[in-house]
This record gives sequence, C-alpha cells and structure tokens, in this order.
Amino acid sequence: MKNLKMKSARAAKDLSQEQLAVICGVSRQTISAIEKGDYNPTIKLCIVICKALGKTLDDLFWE
Amino acid sequence: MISGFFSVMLIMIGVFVFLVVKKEKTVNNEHGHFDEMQEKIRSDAFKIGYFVTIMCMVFLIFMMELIDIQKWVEYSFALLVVMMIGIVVFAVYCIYKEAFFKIGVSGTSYIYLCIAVCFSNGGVAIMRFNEGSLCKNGVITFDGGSSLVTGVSFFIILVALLLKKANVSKG
Repeated sequence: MKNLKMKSARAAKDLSQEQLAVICGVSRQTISAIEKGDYNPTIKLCIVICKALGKTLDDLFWE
Repeated sequence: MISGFFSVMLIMIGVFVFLVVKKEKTVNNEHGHFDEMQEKIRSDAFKIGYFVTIMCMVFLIFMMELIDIQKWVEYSFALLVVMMIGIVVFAVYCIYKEAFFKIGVSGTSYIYLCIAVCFSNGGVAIMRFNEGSLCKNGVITFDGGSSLVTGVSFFIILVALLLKKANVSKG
C-alpha cells in the first residue's frame, strides 16, 4: 500500500526524495520504495524520517 | 615479450583498483555505507547466488556421472565457471536492484575498472589461444580458460552496470 501521508509530508516540507534521502542517510531508492509501499522500513528508519519531516510515527506510519 | 606486457598491465590494474577504492572512501570524506534496504537486497542476492552455485554444482556432478565431462573441460575449470556464475548472479542482482554501490558512489570508476579487467583478461585469453594452451587435445584447461571466464564475467557485470546507468539517467 502506498504511503501517501509520507509523500504529502515531504511535499509540504518542499523536499525532493533525494534531499530527504540525504537527511535520513539512505538512498533515494529507499525513500521511493517506502512511498510506493514496496519496502517496510525498520522502526529506526521510521523515527529518522519522522524527525526529518517533523511528524510523529502515528502521522506517517499508522493506518 | 607479450607475457611481460600483460604482467605490466596487471600491475597497472592493481594500482588502478587501489586508486578506485581510495577515491571511493574520500568522495564524501567518510566511509560509505549501505542503507537497510540495500543490505536486505544484498542478503537476498547472497542467497540467490549461493542457491545458483549449489544448483550448478549439482548439475556439474550429474554431468560428471552421466557423461565424462573431463573429455571437454578440466574439472578445476568447470569449478571456476560454477564459482563465477554465482558471483555474476550476485553482482547482476545487486546492480539491477541498485544495491551494488554504497550510498553516494556513482560507480563510474568501477565501469572503467571492469573495462580494464575485460581487456586485460581478454588479451591473456587470446594470447593463450594463440599459444595453444587454452585448449589442449580438445580439453579446455584451467590455465588457459581462467582468464577467459574472468573476462566474460566482468563483461557481463560491465553490461549490467552500463544498462543500469543508462536506465537511471533516462529516469
């Protein structure tokens, strides 16, 4: 299932996938895969993404 | 004369490999790393490569039992081919899934490295063929065939790298 919440939070911060990837210390493909729902990130990466986007885990990753 | 030329070429490739590795470490002034998704992909690639190697090994043993394979190839050469198949499967899977290079590494240096290895091993293989040591009495030897297999393996990896690079630049 696509993670549209994360995509819209990233867009609201005016960040590209590449920029968010650099902030989180992962590859652009990883961010793309998470947004497309192709990859389930670990809780560690979820927290890093939440901090980067200024959101909570509930906001981005809770159904 | 020719073997001396290739010896010099091999030393140059060794220096080139050292420079590539050194450059990779200093691009971002830090050691690169694989992220968690890349590590997962690489672990899958290891599994697939290992499985393919075992399957090829089983196939080879069957071939040895069913037909006398040593009429055509030396056993050590066949083992090298099996090993290289596993390595190539691992490399191509990682390249296809974008987990071959660490984060921030473009891979251009590795393309040049693959070209250098292809040319040097291809050259050695041609030299061995001309000498007649590639195939003795209809049997492909390890000494002659190892450079051929290495050259072909790196050529496949090179093609995979170029295709992926073209695909990425196309978007």
